[in-house]
Amino acid sequence: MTSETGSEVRFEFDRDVLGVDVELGSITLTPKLIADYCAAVAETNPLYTDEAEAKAGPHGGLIAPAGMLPSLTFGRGGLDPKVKFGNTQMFAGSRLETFAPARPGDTITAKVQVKEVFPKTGRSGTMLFIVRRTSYYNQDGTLVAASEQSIVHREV
Amino acid sequence: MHRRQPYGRSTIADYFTLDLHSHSTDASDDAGGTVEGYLKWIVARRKKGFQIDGIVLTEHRSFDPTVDYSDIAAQYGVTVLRGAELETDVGHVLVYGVDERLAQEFDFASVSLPYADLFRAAKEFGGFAVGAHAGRPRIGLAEHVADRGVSLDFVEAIEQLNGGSNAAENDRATDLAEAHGLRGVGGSDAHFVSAIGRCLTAFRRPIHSIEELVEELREGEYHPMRVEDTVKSE
Repeated sequence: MTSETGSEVRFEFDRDVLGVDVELGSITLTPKLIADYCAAVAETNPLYTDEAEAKAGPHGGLIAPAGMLPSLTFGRGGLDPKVKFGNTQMFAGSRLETFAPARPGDTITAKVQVKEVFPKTGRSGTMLFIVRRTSYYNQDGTLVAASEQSIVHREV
Repeated sequence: MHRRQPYGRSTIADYFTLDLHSHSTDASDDAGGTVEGYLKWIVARRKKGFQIDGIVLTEHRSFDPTVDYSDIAAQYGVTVLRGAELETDVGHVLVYGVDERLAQEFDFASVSLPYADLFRAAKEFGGFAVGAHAGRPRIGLAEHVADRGVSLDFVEAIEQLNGGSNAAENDRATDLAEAHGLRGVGGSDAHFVSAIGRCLTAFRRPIHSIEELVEELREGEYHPMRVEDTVKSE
């Protein structure tokens, strides 16, 4: 375990897990899966919902909304940095980057890693952030999207 | 009761206004504003009559010396300079003129850098340090001075007006500045586009480089102000 000490802040975590990808599983994006997602979130963009319009669009056919990828259950997994700090945790935000279109019929494989662990201070005191990055690849190994989620540990 | 800031309306055309404190998606984990987004916003604000001449990106706990915004700055006609916001044992500190020697001496990722050493080294290495959002609890200088009696021997300036601080916090920063004869600056602490330029520092001389900024902070005439006070009067 690695200790990071400052004059007031002391926290420990397992630095060996940083950057290590763990495969969570694969899901095929069927047309029904995409359509059900769009219906669930009231997505009406014709790029995702209208075959004829999507064919005339920039991608030459229907694509899946990138936002649906983090909502899919690929499976549990990922390494635990074993953070020793604070007595509570909270969701601290997420980001999504898109790199290539995901299409109906694509099989998407998700891999997750602990990207970074870092402290920061604010009005309410010291916090420790854990950022996990999930990368989504299609069947050709092309990275189509990546999402990052931050969890904050703090003392309350 | 909110204390009126000692700047008010002024002959703004005589000043060069810089937002000395901002964060972008390029390097701050909690920012949502892009550099280009900030510049577009400033151009739009100028059309409404506000004067924002430039910004300084002060990313959290990091400084990449290879980053250069001169092209995009020229494209939008906005001065874009770079500093850093570091975290010390008396709160956050803005550093302008980040020298390689500073990065070697201090771990920018630390949240408890020794403040006196940082202030001193920043100046020694040709830069200038400012106590950020000085009136905020925990991460502003005022509380540490009041509660622990920390020395201000190495501190020349504080962020007296911060766009993310409330009125009471900014007043507390003003009290600290006045009580200890500290210079005061203004900055938005923007993390999102619409906050950029909310608070500024008005300099008597134009500033187009980090060297000029450091020189003015050390020796020049400046004061904090709100963007509303930059609207050209008829």
